[in-house]
Amino acid sequence: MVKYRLEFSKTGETKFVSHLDLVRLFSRVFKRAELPLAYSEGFNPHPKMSIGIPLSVGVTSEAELLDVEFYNEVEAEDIKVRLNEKMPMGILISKVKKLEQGDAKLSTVSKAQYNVKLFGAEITEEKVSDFMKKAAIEIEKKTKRSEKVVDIKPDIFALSYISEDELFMELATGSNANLKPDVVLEAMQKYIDGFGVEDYALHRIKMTDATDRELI
Amino acid sequence: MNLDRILKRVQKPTRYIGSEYNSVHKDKNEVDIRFAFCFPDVYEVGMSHLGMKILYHLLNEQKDICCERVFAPWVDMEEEMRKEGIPLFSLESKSPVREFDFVGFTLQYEMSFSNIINMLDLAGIPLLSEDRGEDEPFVCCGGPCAYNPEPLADFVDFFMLGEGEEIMLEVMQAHREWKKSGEPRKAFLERILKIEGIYVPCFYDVSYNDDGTIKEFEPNHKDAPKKIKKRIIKDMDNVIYPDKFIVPFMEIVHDRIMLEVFRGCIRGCRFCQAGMIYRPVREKTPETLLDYAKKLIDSTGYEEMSISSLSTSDYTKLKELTDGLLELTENKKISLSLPSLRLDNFSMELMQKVQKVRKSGLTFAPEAGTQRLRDVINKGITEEDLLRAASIAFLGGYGGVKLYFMMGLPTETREDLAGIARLSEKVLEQYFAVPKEQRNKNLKITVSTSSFVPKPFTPFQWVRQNGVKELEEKQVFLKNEIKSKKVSYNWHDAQLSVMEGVFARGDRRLSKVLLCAQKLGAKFDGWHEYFDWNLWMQAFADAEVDPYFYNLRDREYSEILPWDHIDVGVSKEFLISENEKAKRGEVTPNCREKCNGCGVIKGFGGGLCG
Repeated sequence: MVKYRLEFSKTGETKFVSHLDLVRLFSRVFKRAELPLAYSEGFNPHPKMSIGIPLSVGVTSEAELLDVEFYNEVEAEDIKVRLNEKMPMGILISKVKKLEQGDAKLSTVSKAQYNVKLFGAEITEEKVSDFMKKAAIEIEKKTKRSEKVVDIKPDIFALSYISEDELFMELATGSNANLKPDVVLEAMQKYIDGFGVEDYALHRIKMTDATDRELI
Repeated sequence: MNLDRILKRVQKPTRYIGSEYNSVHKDKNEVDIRFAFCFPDVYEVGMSHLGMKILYHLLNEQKDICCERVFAPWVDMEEEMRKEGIPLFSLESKSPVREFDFVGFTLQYEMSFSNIINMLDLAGIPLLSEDRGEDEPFVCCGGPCAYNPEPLADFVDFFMLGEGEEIMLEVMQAHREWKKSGEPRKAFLERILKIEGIYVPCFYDVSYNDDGTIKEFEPNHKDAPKKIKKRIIKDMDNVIYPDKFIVPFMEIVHDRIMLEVFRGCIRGCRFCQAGMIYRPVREKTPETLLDYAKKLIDSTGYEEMSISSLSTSDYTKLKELTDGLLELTENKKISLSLPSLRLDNFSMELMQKVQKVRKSGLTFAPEAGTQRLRDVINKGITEEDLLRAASIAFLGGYGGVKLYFMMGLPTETREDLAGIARLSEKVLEQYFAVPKEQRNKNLKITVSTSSFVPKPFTPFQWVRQNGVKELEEKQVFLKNEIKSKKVSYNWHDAQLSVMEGVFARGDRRLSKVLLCAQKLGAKFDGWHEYFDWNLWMQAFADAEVDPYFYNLRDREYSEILPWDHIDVGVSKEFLISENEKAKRGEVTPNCREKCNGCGVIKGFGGGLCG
């Protein structure tokens, strides 16, 4: 068995493809590309493949990660070319790396960077820095049973102003803590006077571990 | 168009994005004809339809034609579209449907008619054919329900009858010539009258007797044929078949490779419209099919493949085909499914083939509860067939068996209904006859009943359908007859079946009802949760049409039927003789045992009926 890690972008209309549908899509692309995808044993064999950190529906990305197992070795560049030939519009493999023992697992991802484009809203540098100076940023989090107030401030590693309709965010991502950029926008609308957003476009730029190291 | 923002708000947005793998995108400025292929149901249903895959491929193979797909937006999406003023659009280029040269609907079931009217409305295309201007698209229809096109006569510019692979290209050719000629809109409809299989409703007049039956149905144009003959493909090995299927992002109803092995059916079950209208039987050879299978495996990456036909086990070279398919699929982890297996030639060998990769449930369709009634409908299956097949299934490790029956069949009595319960008990006994350690622990027998709907071009096209009350009483009766807890019973909505029955044998006067129903908000009537009986009753009242005229009466053989101007090849004499034999409980042998002279050979030339 040989393991590989793939980085891919998900743009255009494919941002509406859900995580589960993406898993099925990839298992078909591997088949079309005739790559030696490994399967689990048992009654209903399924491909040995996992897509790192699920991306929310409606968000584009240039840094999604996928680990996959093959029955035998294939040249990394060859994998990339063959997959891209059989990919639907909007999804593109950018990097392929053979995984060695000791390489970090996908589960070590703990930060993600986003570009946030605002429509029908204006923001100033000052307002952004005032927002980030607050001791706590509290939002109401609804669970199935109750509503509780949580402080999301510790999960915002960076929030910066790019232009009056564009922001940069670095947020906690992964199994320990997970903050979505739309939740931050919601909090901003609550805390910043006169700031309202009609619509926005979210784009994931990068995912790293706690020490800011990329996984590919 | 502010689609992006809307898609963030609706359920299952991938229904509307259309950039799936193998979808065809052409520049509208580089083609001469744009065809919007419309399926009047939601994406995951429409995308499962094999005919659409074939015709999409056929049209897009033509360099100067661009065919794009259109589905009925789900209720949430329609609401958003109407709010934002977004007209019905095609998936590939997101163009308004109104811009296309042709807007073609496939008619798969009567209860989708309301969606057609609603989609035209959402597209901003005048609903009535007579109101369409020179620059409007031509609205056309095909598919099984086009064999009784009359309920849609006021909306549709022309119908294409029968198999579409040849006729569609002929219509496209006529369009090229017409466009060059610069003639007015009506001239195109006149031109296509010369193509066999074309029905243009506006070139026919209907008059009625005092009792509401048809007095006369006559062409009002010199080129309009008195009888319109359906089209069939004679050479099944050389007819076009897609070597690529679009691979959807979302899971669709039939999310797999489908191989069409033959058209038609040798059986002649008397309730079955498909068994009559798709005659004669024409098979594809295993070589052809294995070639498609290989190409489709490579081009789709699908993990499942299924064989498509009206009765899989009647394919003469089934063993050769399934052996060849298993060779292609097994090591690629592709599961093979063989639907529509008949009980009387179901074998252990066949079953093992189906389950080699993955084991799913088995469904059998005895259709009626007693031998007498099975003979009436010419199902030609015995109790022994069913019990033997069930026994094989249980021995092979299956625990789930589904049994399909029909309710409300002609001559049906309480005894026949009770027979359904008795039969399911006997199937249960077969399970317990299998040694404990050998059988599947999860036993589940499901009995399902649908309500019989008499359809045009069947021997039962003259019979009265059961009413809602009758059907519901029968459902309660059967429910009480089924005593075992291991047998679960479910049934179809009787109101829905009755409404289907009205439209199945309806005439032109129903166009007005459809118009009224659309105004009242009718849509997705094939979906239990959206079908509204009271709405339809209101629509019939508004249109001043009695629904029961169409289904709650026996018709005389002498009555002019609304679909009499359509020729499917099977003669009326044959249908009458079959109906008479049904009354006497006599069976008719299948077409391989003996030619019963249904008329299709006379109509289409010999050498068919493979």
